[in-house]
Amino acid sequence: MPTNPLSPERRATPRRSPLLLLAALWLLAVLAIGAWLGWQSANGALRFDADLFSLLPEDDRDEVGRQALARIQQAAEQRLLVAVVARDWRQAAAGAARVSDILARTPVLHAENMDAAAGMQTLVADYAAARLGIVAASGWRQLQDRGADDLTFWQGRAWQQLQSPVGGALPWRQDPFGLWQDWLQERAAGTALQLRDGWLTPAGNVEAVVVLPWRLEGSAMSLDVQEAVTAALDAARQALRALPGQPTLVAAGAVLHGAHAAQTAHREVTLIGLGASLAILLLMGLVFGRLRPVLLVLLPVAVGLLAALAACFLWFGHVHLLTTVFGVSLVGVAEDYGAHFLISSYQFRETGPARLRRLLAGLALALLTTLVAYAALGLPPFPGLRQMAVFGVVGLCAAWLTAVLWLPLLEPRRAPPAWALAMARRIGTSRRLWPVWPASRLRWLTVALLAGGAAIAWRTVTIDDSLKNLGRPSPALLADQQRFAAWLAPAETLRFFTIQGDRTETVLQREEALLDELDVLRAQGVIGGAEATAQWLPSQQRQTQVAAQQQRLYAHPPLRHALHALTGAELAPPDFVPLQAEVWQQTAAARLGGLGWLGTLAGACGEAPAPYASIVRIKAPDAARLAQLAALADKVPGVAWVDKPALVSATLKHYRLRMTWLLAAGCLGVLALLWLRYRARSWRIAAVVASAMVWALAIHGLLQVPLQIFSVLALLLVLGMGVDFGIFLLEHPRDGDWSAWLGVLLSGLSTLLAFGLLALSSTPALHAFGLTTLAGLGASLLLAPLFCTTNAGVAEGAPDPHGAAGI
Amino acid sequence: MTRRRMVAALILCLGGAAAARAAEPLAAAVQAAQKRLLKPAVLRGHFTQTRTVQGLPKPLVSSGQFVLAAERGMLWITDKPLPALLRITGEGILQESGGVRRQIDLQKEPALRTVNELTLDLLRADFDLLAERFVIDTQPAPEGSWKLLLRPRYGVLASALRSVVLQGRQYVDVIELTDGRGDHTRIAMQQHKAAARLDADEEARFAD
Repeated sequence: MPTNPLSPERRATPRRSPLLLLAALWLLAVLAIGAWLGWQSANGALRFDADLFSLLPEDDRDEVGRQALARIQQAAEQRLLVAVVARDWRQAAAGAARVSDILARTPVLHAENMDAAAGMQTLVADYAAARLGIVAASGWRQLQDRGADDLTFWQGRAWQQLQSPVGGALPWRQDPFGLWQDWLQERAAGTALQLRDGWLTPAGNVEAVVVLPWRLEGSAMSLDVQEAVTAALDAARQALRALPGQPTLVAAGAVLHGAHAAQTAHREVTLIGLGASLAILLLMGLVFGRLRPVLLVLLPVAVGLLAALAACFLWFGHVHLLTTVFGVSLVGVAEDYGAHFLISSYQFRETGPARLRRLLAGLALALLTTLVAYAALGLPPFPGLRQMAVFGVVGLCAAWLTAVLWLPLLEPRRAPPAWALAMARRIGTSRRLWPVWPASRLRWLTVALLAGGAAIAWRTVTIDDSLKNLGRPSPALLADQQRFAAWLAPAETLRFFTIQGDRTETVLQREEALLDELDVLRAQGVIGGAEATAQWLPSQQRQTQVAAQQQRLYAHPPLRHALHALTGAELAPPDFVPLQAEVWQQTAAARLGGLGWLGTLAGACGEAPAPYASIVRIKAPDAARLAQLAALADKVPGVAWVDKPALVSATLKHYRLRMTWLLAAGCLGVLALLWLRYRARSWRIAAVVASAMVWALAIHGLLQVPLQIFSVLALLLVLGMGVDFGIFLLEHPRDGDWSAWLGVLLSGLSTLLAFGLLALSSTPALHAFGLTTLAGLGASLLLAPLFCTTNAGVAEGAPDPHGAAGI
Repeated sequence: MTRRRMVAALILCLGGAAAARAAEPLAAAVQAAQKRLLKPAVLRGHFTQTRTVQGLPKPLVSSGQFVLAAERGMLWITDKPLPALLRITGEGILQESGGVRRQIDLQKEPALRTVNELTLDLLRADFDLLAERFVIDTQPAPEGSWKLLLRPRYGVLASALRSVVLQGRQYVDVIELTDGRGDHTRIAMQQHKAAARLDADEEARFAD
């Protein structure tokens, strides 16, 4: 073979200069992409996203629900809850002091401090003028049920207040019946944390637990913040081990989930990337025996991944972690073009650009079919899927361009060593292992495969459209989170009521109506409690009613006499000025109780007839009786029930069904295309692909992996790529060139391995995707040589197969 | 979270002292007083409580019976001016008056555990436990009796309770509390009778 690029033979080849030019242009493009990525990464502008919900389409129909969810999540995101658990209180307190010291030294963490006395005084001052109108739910019931005539009752209440050796929040004369005091205690009892010896502890616990709430400085999704927090928590755990009794540390927060997601993604990307690359290394090494071909095969892969990443960052601004894990499996597919080009050197004598010309059409067809499959991923309007589609499409195109433009110029001049040639031949001729059966037997086999697979699939397959498929927290984090849930009884973050009204007063009144209904459900055990702004800021109507009742009480002569006899004091009702919403929002209480208040809605909703909104949250709902909560939306006007997990499931299910129809249409379309070219033989390819898809479903069922939208998308990929196997083998009869089978086998194995590694992902969606592709393509690879091999060199009635596709 | 913590802190009453410290050894005089105290299994007696509240022209006087059981807790039965019952045990607080019954379960509100512990410690004059939360000084006392001034060590308790004065001989005779607002409560206990166990009536009240 000529070694001098300027030798006469080379100069004679006509098509080289355009190729050189294009290759040079592509080199420039790749360098530019690399430089851009490097610059962005140095600036820290490359953001990876770990938020589950950013994968899903936004629900445009429920704008209020979306704003409410955003509000709740913002509040939750910056929190880190840490708890110290010990056998007795003293150990827990000592542990808590130690942990506080360590965590306080971390710059990104701030303790949520409170100054009890000052806070109390502010609260008293804020509610001073309106306190006659603000009572606890129990107090309101008592005012309504027990009239002023019930002397014993009200006298007894007053006396209890007087007798307490340590006074209440207000001097007795300002709150003689303790009704405002009760309201204060009701707000406090609404939280599950109580103060003991200066530490927060959950009510009703059996062990000694101290809870330390912390606030994050910086985004919970930033990698730096996550690392700092994880390091601090590890140091705290270490310190606790040194204390007597060895208290344990429990921690929960969005930042920990983000850290775990990032770690998992990093681990999986490394595993898949390295694993697939090593496999390719090994396979190509076996067949070529030298380093250069191996590196040349990996070059398009590297360029492809680089370009894909750059495209995603350019288009979307940030890349989701799930996309990176999925994208890395591209390694198995992108190496196909390079591998095919290099392996074709066994079949064709031409070198470099000349051989490229023979292969170009076939390579283009292979690219096109795979591109269509990956592009189909982007059909559902899911940002996550769109990212994966862009990643796949751009990555494959870039890999193809690299293989087509650079490999012909860079390919090795020397022949592979003899042992590699022998190995290649051995592998290539392994196709003879598969028997050649007559068409009739094959048809029976098809029926058996389809029927058997379908029967198993029908019996065993389950479907799961839930949100959990997109991401699962680590079991340890989940356990910790559940412990906190048991201690704190927090309000639900993904299920709540939204209330809309034309004025603040309307919204508050509706909240009160809803709270009454929720109280009934609480008594039945459907929920554990409810949180609403109206508990801190009753509607004007309610405040006026309550004040009127209290004034009747104060004015009642027998009660006044009795209290005068007891204390010598004359009771006079305080002046009542109802608390207005605008005033309340400036108070400290608004920070405590105003989380659910959305006020005027942003955007177009703010101009609608009902622009004011608020959120009423519930605690500990009974999962089996959610329908009762949903029914309340019909009972009270202006109330809507938002159940985000159910909405997500419904969306995923909807698109799963649509993609299934698309799959069916795709199958028919492919069949039509095959018929155009292969006429009577097209059933062979159809049999392979159909059996592969059916058995992929059956394996799902046998392994008890539920079906979901990602499985359907994977079947699209199986259709796109499985058909290729059949086409290649039909084009090349068995006794023809063994290099075709070599190429198909090698590229098939690398793809299988990459997707097989993807099946090891801990994210259920990716696991299902990898499993489906692995099973489907594996079955295709096994069945294709069986079905798509005919005895004749050119099979019955088809046109010359060596026309277009060279592979 | 901020909201919950602030509100939790706002359960007034006897908030709670900051982290308890290991007690320093008690002063000699306090130990002497401790030695003189009798600690029977059941102690009964009569009490008169005088409460001076700011803004009220005359002090509030109530009187009744008390039962202090070493293991169970305390019963405070008021006869005058209004019948009432207050029961403090390790499990919670029960208040009954005017036909209305109010029960606080300490499982659900552990902050009030401090209230319980404090009340029982004061009545039993358990100086070791009290020394964790208060600085104890002796005060001049009439012959044959001891008098101690207790001041809270830590901020939160101090804002609720300014000082406590205990006076007694073989039993605690007088407890005087001054709360954060300056209101004064004086509990005088007389006619102490020791017994070995509770009678049927009292058992019923504890079990109720």
